[in-house]
Order: sequence, then structure tokens, then C-alpha cells
Amino acid sequence: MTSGSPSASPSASAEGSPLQAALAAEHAAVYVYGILGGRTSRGDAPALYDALRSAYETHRARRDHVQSLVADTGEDPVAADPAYLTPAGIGSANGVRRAALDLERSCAETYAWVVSRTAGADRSWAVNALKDAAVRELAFGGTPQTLPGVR
Amino acid sequence: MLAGAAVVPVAACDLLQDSTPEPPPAPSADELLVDRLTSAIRRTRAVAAASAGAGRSLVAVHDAHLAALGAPAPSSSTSPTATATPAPRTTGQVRAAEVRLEARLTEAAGRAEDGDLARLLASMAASLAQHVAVLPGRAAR
Repeated sequence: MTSGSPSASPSASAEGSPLQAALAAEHAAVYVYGILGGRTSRGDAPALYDALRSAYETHRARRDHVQSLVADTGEDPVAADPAYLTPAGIGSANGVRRAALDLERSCAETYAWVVSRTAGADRSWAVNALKDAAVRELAFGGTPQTLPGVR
Repeated sequence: MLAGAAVVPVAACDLLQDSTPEPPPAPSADELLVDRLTSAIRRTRAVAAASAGAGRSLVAVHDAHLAALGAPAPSSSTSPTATATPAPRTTGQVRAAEVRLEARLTEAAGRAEDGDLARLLASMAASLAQHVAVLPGRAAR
């Protein structure tokens, strides 16, 4: 079982290439958003539900995209772990929101790292993924930062 | 004697060479990129500084970004010799300027040769995307 959030140190967890690190992060994000969506009532928290659904669909599409990018390089795409640690404290809407915010912040860190280690189309794709994660943080209670994704 | 006469001109020549300043190395592509971005950030900062509303909060962000690029922030004090006060800018004008700068930083992040600079520029673009999203008057993206 692996931590639910993408690693803040992608180089330590990735199997070599930056795209593999991005793929590992997206596997985790899809899994965790599935859990968070299952804990959220559409009737009681419609805005949160919609934000989680949008995030889930975005990360799933991105996972599929980066999987094809990795395959195009001739590497075997890293597989999802059988399970990831469920974030703590997700028994309330606030807890779910906080877990989603942590997840997007971790994704932003991963993509900032990927930006620094890629070039060309792969880097442009990672820049946009970083921006998306940064803006998505706002839907989960985040506030604008000076340098998102960079510690 | 002949040997001594031969040494003197050589030494003088060495002195001349030493006193001639080396031409500065040509700036790298990344240095030129940072120079252009610094100018663009300063222009956008001026628009935010002339805003009476929420746009003013972006001045501190631009100052932090200039510092991250190694450039000093413009002085906030008004020069006594200033002849004109900039016209107040609306939030819409601030937003338009920030969106232009965000696009420029995004493009520059893709072009930077140094990976760490690319990461910094991408993060700055992401920061502006966040700030634009919370500016009043338009729903967040």
C-alpha cells in the first residue's frame, strides 16, 4: 500500500523518467479522488461533489494521456499500486476538502519537478498540468500562492 | 644586451594586453529571456499598482517574482520629479495584463534551457493563474 498523495520527492519514487513520475502521481490521484467522491454527498455538498467529479475526470484523462506518452517512448508504463493509503480525517466535508487540497498541492509539486526535467512538448504539457493543479487548489479551499509547486 | 632589448618589447606587449578589458561574454539565451521577462513583469506590476481595487494585491506577487529572478523591485515611493500620475486601472484592465503575462511566462517556461529556470517560470505562471481566478468580476476557471 502506498501513500495516497503523489510523492513530494518524485525522483525517489519514479522509475527513471519524469513521465513515469507523473504517471505514478496520476494513478494515486485517480484512486484517491475515487475515495473522496464516494465520501461526498451530492445533495449535502453539491459544490464539493462537482469539484471532486471534475478533478477525478481531469486526472483520469491525464493518466491515460501520460500512459500513452510513456508507451510511445518504448518504456513500460508504471502500473498503479493495488491500493493507496486513504487520507485521514475524511469523515466530513471539510476533511474531504483538505485531502483534495493536499492531493492537488502534491500534484503541483510533481509537475513542477517534471517541468524541470523535460523539454519540448512534454514540458509544455507539464507546465499546463502544474497550472491546472494550482488553480484547482482554489476549489478545495486553497489560496493563491507566490510560487505554487515550488517549496 | 640583445637579449635584454628583446625582452622589453615583449613585456610591454604583455602589459598592454593585461590592461585591455576583455569584452563581456555575450548573454546566454536564458539571460536574455530573464531580461525580457523582468521588463514584462515590471510593466504588469505598474498596471496592478495603478489599480484601486483587488488588483493591488498583485504588486507584492510581482515583487516576489522579480526577486526570484534576481531583479530588484521598482521603488514604491513617488519620485518628486514625476510629472504624471498613472491613470487608475480597472480590475478588467489588471486581469487582461495579468493574463498576458501568464501566457508569456508559460511560453517562456517551455523555452528556457535551464530546467530549474523553467520550473520557476512555470510556477510563476501558475501563481498568476491562481490570482486571476480570484479577481472579482469573473467566475473562477
